Amino acid sequence: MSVSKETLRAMSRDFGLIELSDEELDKVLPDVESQIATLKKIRVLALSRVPPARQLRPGEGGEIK
Amino acid sequence: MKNKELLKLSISELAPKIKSREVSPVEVTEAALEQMERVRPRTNSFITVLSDSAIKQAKEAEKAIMRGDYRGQLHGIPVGIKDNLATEGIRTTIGSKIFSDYVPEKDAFAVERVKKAGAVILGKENMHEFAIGGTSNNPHFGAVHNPWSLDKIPGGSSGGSAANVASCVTYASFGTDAGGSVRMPASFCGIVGIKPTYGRVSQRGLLSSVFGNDHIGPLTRTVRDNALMLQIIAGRDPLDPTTVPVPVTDYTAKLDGGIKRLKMGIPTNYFFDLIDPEVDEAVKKAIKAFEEMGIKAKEISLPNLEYAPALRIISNVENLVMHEDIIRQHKGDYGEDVLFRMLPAEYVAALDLARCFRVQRIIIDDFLKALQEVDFIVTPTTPAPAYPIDAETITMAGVEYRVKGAGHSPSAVIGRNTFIGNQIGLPALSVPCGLTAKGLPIGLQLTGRAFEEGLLYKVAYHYEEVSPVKGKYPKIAG
Repeated sequence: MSVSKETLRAMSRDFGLIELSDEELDKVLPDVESQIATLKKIRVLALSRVPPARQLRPGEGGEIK
Repeated sequence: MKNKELLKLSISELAPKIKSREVSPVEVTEAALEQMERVRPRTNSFITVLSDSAIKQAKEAEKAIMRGDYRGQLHGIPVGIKDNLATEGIRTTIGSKIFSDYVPEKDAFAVERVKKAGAVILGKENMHEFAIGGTSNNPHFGAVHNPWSLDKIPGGSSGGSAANVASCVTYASFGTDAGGSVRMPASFCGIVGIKPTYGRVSQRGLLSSVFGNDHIGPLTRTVRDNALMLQIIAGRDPLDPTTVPVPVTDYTAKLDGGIKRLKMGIPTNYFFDLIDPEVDEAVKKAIKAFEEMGIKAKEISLPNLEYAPALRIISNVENLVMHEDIIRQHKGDYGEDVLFRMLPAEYVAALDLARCFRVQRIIIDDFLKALQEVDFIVTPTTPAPAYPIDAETITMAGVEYRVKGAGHSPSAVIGRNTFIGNQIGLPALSVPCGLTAKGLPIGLQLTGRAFEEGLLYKVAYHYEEVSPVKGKYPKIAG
């Protein structure tokens, strides 16, 4: 999936993100695209019943005395 | 004893000599400072050198011993501190131009502990800018050079710390590890490094970018020394809510205990998918060595590592949260690799980030399930050995990977095996397991159950005896 510089520029403007020049947006774009690919891949996973990552379970953290 | 021999001793060999007054802390510190002056111009391993205060600390340590106040095995031992750990009255730059004049008012918890143990601090060590990167090519304080091959990276972000230990300037250094920043440099510099369990060591005073997965860990030349160093900093700190009240075991007490009934897990996916042939061969030889010691090998599957890049998004978002305000004011003062690694995180939606955290959980569950069947997991620490400081690409098994430029973070390649441990919170240790044909060190990573650092040390201690790197030093060490 590709994303345009215009989209990123609009997001920066409308959401008050860090302002980036054209040259900086060019440098950010490849990682944003690879990020979108990763996120697209995990959107299909059934994650609704997965507990929070940092929730400790009995035995997981060793014996607490 | 000649300086050269003195500096190559381990802490556990040197400590009894200091205790019995055969060697004085001042003598050791002067030898270490001489070594530093010889080596530092070539490795660029320090940001701030503390020669005068080191001599002062050594004299105090010596006086304490003379009056019978011996404080333990670190008493009078020269150590280094990575420059993102706060030191009272001593500038702490975090490897950044922006903080080049920052002087903390209090010591970090780990620094407090090491001082209390009587260690002598030689200086604040060079690192990757803001500890966000795996090369230690610092744009403000200069690149750190690998003692084994000066044109190569030492790994990062604790590159100066690893270079100092490997070149026998310090006997141990404290690094920090938010994505492999202790283990990668340990691997590239042929020494031992551990990332303890999340919550085992207080992060108080660690000037971190990612509290959710950062860890303080020691770098040493031997496994026993590493265990000694962790012992000093492990435990609950009431002032750091991330620490967990699990009792700290005596890490050195059972080092030579039996290992024959243990089982090791060998992942069938991810960790051996991208690997340099020489690293692959060295790791497989280490696995064979474990089998010869009586440890049973079992193949394990960690299927959800397919989604591991989602963990990187968590880390990048956390980094950006910490840096956003600073970037708005000082964008031009950041190195390009660090800045452009964080900025894409601006465009992550909240719902997607929440999904990433759930992916983190299912990956944690993969490891916990595997660790019900085996006692520890064996992988390469890094997929390749150290590469040239100015490299644009590295080649593994005939395939070229970009390691410089926007969208090509070297950590995504060389840190792919280590950053998982930060996200799952389990302890992971790197121990040297070989040298390439060109003489570059290779590291073996052992991952264990939460708070079972002692078991990792025991296994690594047995392996160290048969490691092909045992007793080898870079030429620069003298």
